[in-house]
Amino acid sequence: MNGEKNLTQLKIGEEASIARIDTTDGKILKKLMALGVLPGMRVSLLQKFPSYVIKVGNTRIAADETIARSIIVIKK
Amino acid sequence: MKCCHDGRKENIFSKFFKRIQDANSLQSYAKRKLVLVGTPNVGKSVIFNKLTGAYATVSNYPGTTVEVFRGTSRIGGELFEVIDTPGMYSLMPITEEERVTRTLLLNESPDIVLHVVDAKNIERMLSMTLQLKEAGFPIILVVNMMDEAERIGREIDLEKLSALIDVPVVGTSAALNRGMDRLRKKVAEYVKKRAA
Amino acid sequence: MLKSELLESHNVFKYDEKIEKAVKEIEKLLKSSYNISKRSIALLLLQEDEEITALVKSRETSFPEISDIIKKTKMLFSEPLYYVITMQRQKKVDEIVSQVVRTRNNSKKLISNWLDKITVQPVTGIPILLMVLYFGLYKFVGEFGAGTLVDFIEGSIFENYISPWVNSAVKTYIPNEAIQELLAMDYGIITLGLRYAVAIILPIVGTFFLMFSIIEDSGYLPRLALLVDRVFKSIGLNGRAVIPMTLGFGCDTMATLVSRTLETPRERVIATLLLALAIPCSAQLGVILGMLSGMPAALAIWASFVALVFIFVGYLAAQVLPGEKPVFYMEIPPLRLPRIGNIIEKTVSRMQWYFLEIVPIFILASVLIWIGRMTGIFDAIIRLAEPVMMALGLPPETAEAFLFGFFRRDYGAAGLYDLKKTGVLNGVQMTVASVTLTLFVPCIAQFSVMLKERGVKTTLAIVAFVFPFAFLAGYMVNLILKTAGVVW
Repeated sequence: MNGEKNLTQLKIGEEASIARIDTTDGKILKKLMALGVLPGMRVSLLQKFPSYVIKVGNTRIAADETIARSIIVIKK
Repeated sequence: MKCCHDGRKENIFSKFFKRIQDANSLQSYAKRKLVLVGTPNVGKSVIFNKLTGAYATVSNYPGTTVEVFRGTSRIGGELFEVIDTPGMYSLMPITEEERVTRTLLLNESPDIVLHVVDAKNIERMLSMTLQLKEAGFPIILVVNMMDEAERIGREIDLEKLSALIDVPVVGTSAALNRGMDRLRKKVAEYVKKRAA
Repeated sequence: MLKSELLESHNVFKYDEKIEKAVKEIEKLLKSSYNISKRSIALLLLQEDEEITALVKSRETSFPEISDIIKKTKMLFSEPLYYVITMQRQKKVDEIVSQVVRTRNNSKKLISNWLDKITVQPVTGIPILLMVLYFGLYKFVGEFGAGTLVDFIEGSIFENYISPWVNSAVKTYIPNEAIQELLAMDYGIITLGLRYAVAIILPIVGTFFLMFSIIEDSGYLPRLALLVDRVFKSIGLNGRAVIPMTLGFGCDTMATLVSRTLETPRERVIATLLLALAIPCSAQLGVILGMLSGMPAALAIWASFVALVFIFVGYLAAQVLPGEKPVFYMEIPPLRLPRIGNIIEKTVSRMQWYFLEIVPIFILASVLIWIGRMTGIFDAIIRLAEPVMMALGLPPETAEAFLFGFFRRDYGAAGLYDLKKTGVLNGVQMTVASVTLTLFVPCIAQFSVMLKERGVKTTLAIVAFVFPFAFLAGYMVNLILKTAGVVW
C-alpha cells in the first residue's frame, strides 16, 4: 500500500513521516496528538527493545507495541 | 445572606460553618491567585520553587488522588497564592492529572495563569497556549529553558511571538535563575493592567 | 463573574469556516454562564469532551439543538472533529513558529549525550536499573531507612527513653488498668500506634520520598518504566507500576497508597492485590530471612514459592479482571541534575501529607488491639484458628503468631521466630508457616489504606481471595514437602 508502514516495521535509526494514527481508541489518538505525534511530523525510530523509543521534533517518547503499531508512517 | 428568616434554625453548627466560609472568602480576598500550567518536564516546579521559596504544602485535589502543590509569594507588593498543577498536555483532559488541572483552572478563577513551555519544544506546546487564550484565561506565556534551546542553536524572537499570539511572553532559564525578575515584573504589570 | 469575560474573542485564532459556523451557532445557544469562554465550551463540545458535554447537558434546555449542530458538523469531515481541530490549530502554530524560531546550526548534542543513551538501551540500561533499585531502594530505603534509622529511633530513643517514661507516667497517674493498656504498655496508642508511625513509618517514608523525588526530578522515572514495561504487561500492569511494586518491599502500606498513581482502576486493583498477597514488607522480610537463614534449602523454597505465586496470581488477575488492557507511553525528558531545594521541598511536603494520612490509622489499630484483648475476642479467634493450623501440619501455638501478624506484620514473623527458638517448630513447619504468613493478610495499616483507596467491596474481595489462598498454599507446601519425604 503506497509505502505505508507502521512504526514497528521501521529499522532502528530510520526516519519517516507520520501519515496517520490508526486506532479505534480515542484516548490513544488524543494522547498521541497532545504529545505532538501528529500527521505530517517527521519521526525516527531510536530503539525497539524492551520498549519502542521514537523521536518527534526534539521530543523522545517511549511506547509499547500497541501504540507503535498504531502510528502509520510513509518512508520518503 | 437571606438565610436568617428563621432565627432558631441557625444553631451552633451553621454558625460554625458560616465562620469557616467567611474565613475562606476573606482569604481569597486578601490574596491573588497565580496558577502554573504546562506539560510535564518543562520546569514548572522549579519556577514554583523560585516564586514561593520554602513554604509549600502538598495535598490531594478533593475527591481525587492527584497531588497539587500550593505556596505563597509576594510579587510587586501583592500577596499571591501560587498553585503548581499536575502536567497537562491540552485543554481536553485524558488522564486524571489533566482532569484535575482543568477543574482547578475552572473552579479557582485564577487572576493569572502562567503557561510554562520548553523553548526546545515550543512547536508542540503553543497549541495549548492558543487553547488557554481561546478559553479566556488571563495568561502569560513563560518560555523556559532558553539556555538549553540556545545550546541546540535555537533562537526565538519572543517579542514577535508575543505580538503574533497577542499574549505577554517572558523568556526564562529558571534553573539558572535567569529571567525570574523579569517574570515577576511582568506578572505585577499584568495584574495591575487587568485591575484597571 | 469571570473577569476574563472581557478578554474573550479578543484576537483569538480562527478555525476554518465550517468549524467557525458551528461554534457561532452553539455559542448562541449557550445561555448559562461558565467559567471559561463560550467559544471554548463550543469547541470542547464539538470535540466530544465528556465532562463539558455532561455539564452543558445539565444546564442548557437547548442541548438537543446543540447535539444536532455537532452531528451535522461531524458529517462534514471524514476525520473525528478532535483531529480536525487539533490539526488546524497546529497548522497555525507551525506558521507562528516558522516566523519566530531560527535554528543556527543543527547540533544534536543536547539530546544525545551518552548518559541519556545508556539508561534506555537494554544492555546497559538493565544493569543500571538494577543498581538504582539496589542502591536507591534496597540499600538506602530498605537498609538505611528501614534498618539503621528505625533501629536508632525505635530501638534507642523509644525503647530506652520514651516508652519506659510513658509507661511509668501512665502507671502513676492512671489507676485503671484497662485505660493504662489503651494508652501505653505493649499495644497502647502511644507506645504502639504513635511509636509505629514516628519510629518505623516516618524513616521509611522519609528515605523513600527523598529517593523518589530524586528519581522523579532527574528524569530517570520514564526510563525505569520503559525498561520494565514488557515484564509488567504479563501481570496486567504497565511500566509505571515499577515504583509501587518495588516500594512494597519497604512498606506495603505506603506502596498501596502510591498505587493510586497508576492510570486505570484495573491496574490499581491488580497492584493492590499483589501487594497484599505476595510482597513481604521490610519488617517481615527481615524476620523471615533471619529465621530461615540457617537453612538455605528452606529459604530457597520459601522465596521461589512466593515468587511463583506472585507471577501466577498476577497473570491470572490479568486474564480474569475486566477493563482496558494497559497501554504504555511516556515522554522521555533529558536527564538533569536534580535541584536540592526542589527535592527537599517535595520530600518534606510529601512526608507531611503522608504522616497526616497514616497517624489516625495507627491509632485505630492500637484501639482495635485493645478491644480485641479486653473483650476476649482474640482468644476466641485463636481457638478457632487452631484446627486450621493443625491442617497445615503446624502446632496450635502458631495461631497466635498469625493473629498478631495482622496487626503488625513482623510481630507475626517474630512470633514464629520465638517458636523456632523454643524448638516447637521443625524445619518443614517453619517453611510452611513462613510461606503462609507471607501470603496471608496484609497488616492492619495496609488493610485500612486498602479500604480507603480501593473501597470496601474491592478490599473485601481481595481479602476473601488472599485468606483462603494463603492457607491453601501453605497446605500444598506442606503436602509437597511431606510427599517428597523431606525431614529437617
